[in-house]
Amino acid sequence: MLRFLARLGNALFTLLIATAVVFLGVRALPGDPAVALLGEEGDPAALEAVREQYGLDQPVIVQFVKYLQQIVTGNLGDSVRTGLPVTDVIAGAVPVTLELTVVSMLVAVVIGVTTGVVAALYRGRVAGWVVSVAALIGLSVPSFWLGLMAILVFAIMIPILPASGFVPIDIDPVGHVTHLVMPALVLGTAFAAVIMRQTRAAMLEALTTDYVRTATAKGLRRRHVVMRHALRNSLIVVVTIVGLQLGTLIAGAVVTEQVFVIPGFGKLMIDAVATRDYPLIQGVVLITATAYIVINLLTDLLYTVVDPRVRVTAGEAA
Amino acid sequence: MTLLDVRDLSVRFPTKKGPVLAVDGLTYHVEPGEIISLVGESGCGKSVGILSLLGLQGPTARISGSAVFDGKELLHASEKHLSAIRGRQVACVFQDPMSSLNPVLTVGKQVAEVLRRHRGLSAAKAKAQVIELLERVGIPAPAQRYSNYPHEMSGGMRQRVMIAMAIACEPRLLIADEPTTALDVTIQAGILELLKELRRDTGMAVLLVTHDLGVVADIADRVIVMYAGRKVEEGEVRALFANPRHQYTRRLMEAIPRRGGGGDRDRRLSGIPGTVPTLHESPAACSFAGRCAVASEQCRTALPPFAEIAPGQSAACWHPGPQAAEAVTGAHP
Repeated sequence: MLRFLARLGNALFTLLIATAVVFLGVRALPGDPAVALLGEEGDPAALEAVREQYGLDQPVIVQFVKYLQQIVTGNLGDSVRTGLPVTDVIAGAVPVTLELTVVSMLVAVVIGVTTGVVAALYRGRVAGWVVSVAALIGLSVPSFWLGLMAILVFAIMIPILPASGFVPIDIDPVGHVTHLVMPALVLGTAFAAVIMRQTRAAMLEALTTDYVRTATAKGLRRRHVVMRHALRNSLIVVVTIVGLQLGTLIAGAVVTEQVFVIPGFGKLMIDAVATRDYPLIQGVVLITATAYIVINLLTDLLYTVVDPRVRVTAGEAA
Repeated sequence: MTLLDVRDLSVRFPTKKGPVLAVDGLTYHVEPGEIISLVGESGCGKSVGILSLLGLQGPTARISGSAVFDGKELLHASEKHLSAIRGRQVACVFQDPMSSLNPVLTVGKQVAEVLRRHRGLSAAKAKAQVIELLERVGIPAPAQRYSNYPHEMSGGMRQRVMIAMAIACEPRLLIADEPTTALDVTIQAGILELLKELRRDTGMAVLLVTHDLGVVADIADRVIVMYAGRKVEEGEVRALFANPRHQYTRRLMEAIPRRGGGGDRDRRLSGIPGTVPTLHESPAACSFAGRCAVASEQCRTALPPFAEIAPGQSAACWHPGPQAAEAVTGAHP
């Protein structure tokens, strides 16, 4: 329990630092939200009025304290550009990105673990070599290029999938899925390659351990030895990587959403920065930081499921 | 009928400097219900000499010779054939009980796997039998211990779990690769006692690999001494301890610490200078000649034949006479 509280306090402190850095960061950047809103030719008096409306005329420290007071009440302010509450704007975009990310991750884990096991078992043979080279390509190719190539092949040359866009699930479930296939595969590719390499390394190590020798000496079938003894232990590494990389995956969603014109979190972020929409940028970063921290906490929890040794340590500390 | 008959077993491992000869023409046999001990220094090929029988020595090993278990050839047998023998007819206990059990599975499940594989038991039936087995090997509160993970147990208890796993299907041969090396002395005695007891009750043969001559004296019926991949001496345990014939065996005996110098106050504990050579080729000489105090020209130029020197005791040494031991002591006051 103590350990958990310490983790929570740590998380809140991290959030505060992240908020401060972004708050100061956007104000240090060139560009003025009032100008972005009214244009370069805006009336000086009108510009001043806008600045006053959003509190931009006050000292930065006062603005920051006011902002902190706001967020603890769950209010992230209003978007300068649209006037809508930032929480509403984000709430509309998050599910889209979340779905894309989670589907990509599942695709990546299934492909990555399977190919990783194959690569380890067929090390030094053709199958292992093919998988390793494929993973290297998957890692090296930038996702925007892969996205464009996918559109070219599967939407234009062989038109079986829609090129871009997004359809809500309640309007057209089938269209929803078909629109998601390419972005999820493109976003998942690099991630699958990372998982494949980690799985391969962990499996190669696990296969030489004493307990795998014991399992073989017991007369267990090779498949059983590989899946139950070697893979189970290798998954500890995979869980760590999935946790660490999930944040990267969300960042990757920014690019993928741009390529496939998906109205998600990433696209929202780019638009917010382009229009100097301070409250929206801050809101987006705050939510991203929170997501990172929550994912890390969840990864720790997942460990205890996969690795019984961690369970004991946690129990002793509590 | 002989249970295991190994003839001219050689095992090579390819390395960057060329193939290393880990086992060089090893021949031995095991009778049903017999405890045989393979002794020698680290790196003398004793573990490889038995693990290679079951295909457990790693994929890079090059094996030649023959090993007939219960009338069937083991070397070069198919994986399917081997996996049916492993755990059911020939079972293993390894040196380090810390790393030999899977850290993420409960010990009960790991023992149950053997029964489910070879006896086709249901999960519930296997569990009941595992609890009996854990009790049999002296684990207290076996029903609770069933759902423990290996890290929740002490080294001695883990080794008992390994033994429970090995005897689950009542194998005819138990291969024990340094089963007590990683354990405390008091725990060692308990494990050896258990092995003797199990042999008496089930009639299984035990092939014990160790470098500890104390363990050998305690448990073995027959001893095989190995040096640099070769068998250098073999004999009934009392005869061999009373009168070691090979110079290497003599030096091994002298290296055993005894309280009060074993009755001889002036006796000094002696090590054997040098290390076991790494062999690439089978040398046409005694491999121990380089470290032997009484080595003659003959030792360096001709391979000593493995011959019977006394009834039930054989050695491959050019100087197996009983007086040689004093000659050694005299040469190094």
